[in-house]
Amino acid sequence: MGLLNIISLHFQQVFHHRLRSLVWFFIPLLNNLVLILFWSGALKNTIADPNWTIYTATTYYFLLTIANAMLSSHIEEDVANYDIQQGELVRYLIRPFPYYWIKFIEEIPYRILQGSYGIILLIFFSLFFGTYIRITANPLILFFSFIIAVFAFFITFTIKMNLGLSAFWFKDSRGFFELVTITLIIFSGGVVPLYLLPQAVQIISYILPFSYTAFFPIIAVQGKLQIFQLFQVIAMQLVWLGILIGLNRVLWKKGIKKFTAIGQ
Amino acid sequence: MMKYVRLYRALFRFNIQNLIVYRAHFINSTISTVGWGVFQYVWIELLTIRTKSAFGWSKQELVTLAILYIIIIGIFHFFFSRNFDRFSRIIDKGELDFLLIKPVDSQLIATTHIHNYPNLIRVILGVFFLMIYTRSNNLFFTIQGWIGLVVLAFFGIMLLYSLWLFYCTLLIWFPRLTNVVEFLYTINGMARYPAEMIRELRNFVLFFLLPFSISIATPAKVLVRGAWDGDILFLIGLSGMFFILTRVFWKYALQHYTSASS
Repeated sequence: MGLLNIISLHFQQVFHHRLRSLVWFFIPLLNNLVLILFWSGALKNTIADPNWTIYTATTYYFLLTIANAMLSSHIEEDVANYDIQQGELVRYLIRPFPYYWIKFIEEIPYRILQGSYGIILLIFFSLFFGTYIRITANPLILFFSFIIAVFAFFITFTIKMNLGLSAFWFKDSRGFFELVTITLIIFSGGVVPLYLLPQAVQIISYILPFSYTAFFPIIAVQGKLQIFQLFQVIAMQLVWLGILIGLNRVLWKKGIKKFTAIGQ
Repeated sequence: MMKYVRLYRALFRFNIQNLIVYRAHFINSTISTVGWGVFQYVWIELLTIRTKSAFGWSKQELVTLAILYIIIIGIFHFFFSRNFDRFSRIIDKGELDFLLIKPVDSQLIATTHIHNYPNLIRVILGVFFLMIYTRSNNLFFTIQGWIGLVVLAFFGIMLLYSLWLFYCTLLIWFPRLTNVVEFLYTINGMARYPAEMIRELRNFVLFFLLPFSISIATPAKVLVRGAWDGDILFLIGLSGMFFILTRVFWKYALQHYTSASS
């Protein structure tokens, strides 16, 4: 019951600033709408590919907007700037909850609210331009897609937590954060779906964890993966999650010894 | 006028000193700025990986537009964007008072106080990309094209400045909307694409993006195609009109500024 109250308080805080969340949602939305516009002109002069038509492109970028809003965590600056460098971590240390899970609870309401904006938009768009949105109707695939989406969120959240924890050692990691963000955008299919990239880049993308945060959840919902491929994706997500959580534990144990509350 | 020249010289000196004192910050900002600069190039290369042209622009023209975006937006960020970054904070905490009581123009001091030196590295990177790309693709531009680029880039930056100031002035009424500037960084990305993209769609909802898209596409078109068409007058007219309008809007908004805790 106590835990529910804590979660509910965080929801109240996020809903109090819902206009800010709406602006945050507009950022990926605008980016992806512009990409749809670009492809509406570019596809007329593109080598024909049955996997990449105006219908698949529109669905892909709409789902990417939802993935960016719902699955993409932005906790790193909060952890690095406020908690570690300004000493806010102290108030978390005296609470009877692991730091990882408190931050997780803080992040969830933002993702749910911004993801809801995305889903509402998708429903509206589907009502007026239904033919442009092509999502699988297979309930089994949708079920596994949901599991992939949940693990995708855990992966981005843990990557960003680990980035934030690097502030135990570095005074200003903003440049490093930005470089990771750029890498994440490219290798998670944030510009174009990974299957449009050259073979070598695709192989690298499938090895790195980033493709499991947006690209695979999206193509799973589009119904482009068979059941055994969905299992492969989940297996890879679990491997990466294991590595990232292991790294998180190491960073936390070593980093907390360096924490001096103020003036990190 | 001379007072403002002296003031701007002093601000330059102040910003250089700031840069020397906070060296680690400069290096960090340079890494991220250069990273985003390279990303703009990678972005358009990825988008055009299987495309020959879009909206009447060939692949080479689209890549040149993206490189010019790196340069022109780098200049804009160098002079202005850091000032807009802090708008929300200085309005919310009442720090704008300290700028308003100074015996200089409030708009000038609020929007040109801080320079962002890492973006000069981004401009240099863009020039380097442009040299390499034009040479490797045997692209040749006329001297009129280069002159047109420089002149129209000035108006493009003036237009972007006016648009940013317009949106940031709204913070006087909504100071907690701290992410408006982040949104502006995103809309700026519109300038990487041909303006024809918005025009062909003829959707009035997206027409608010048109000023952003002509700000860089017009100078780029003059350089790569030598196209001295109606867009030039449109850009010059729009930048002049927006500059005057935002000036009036800023003065009006200040009458509603109620300092801290408002």
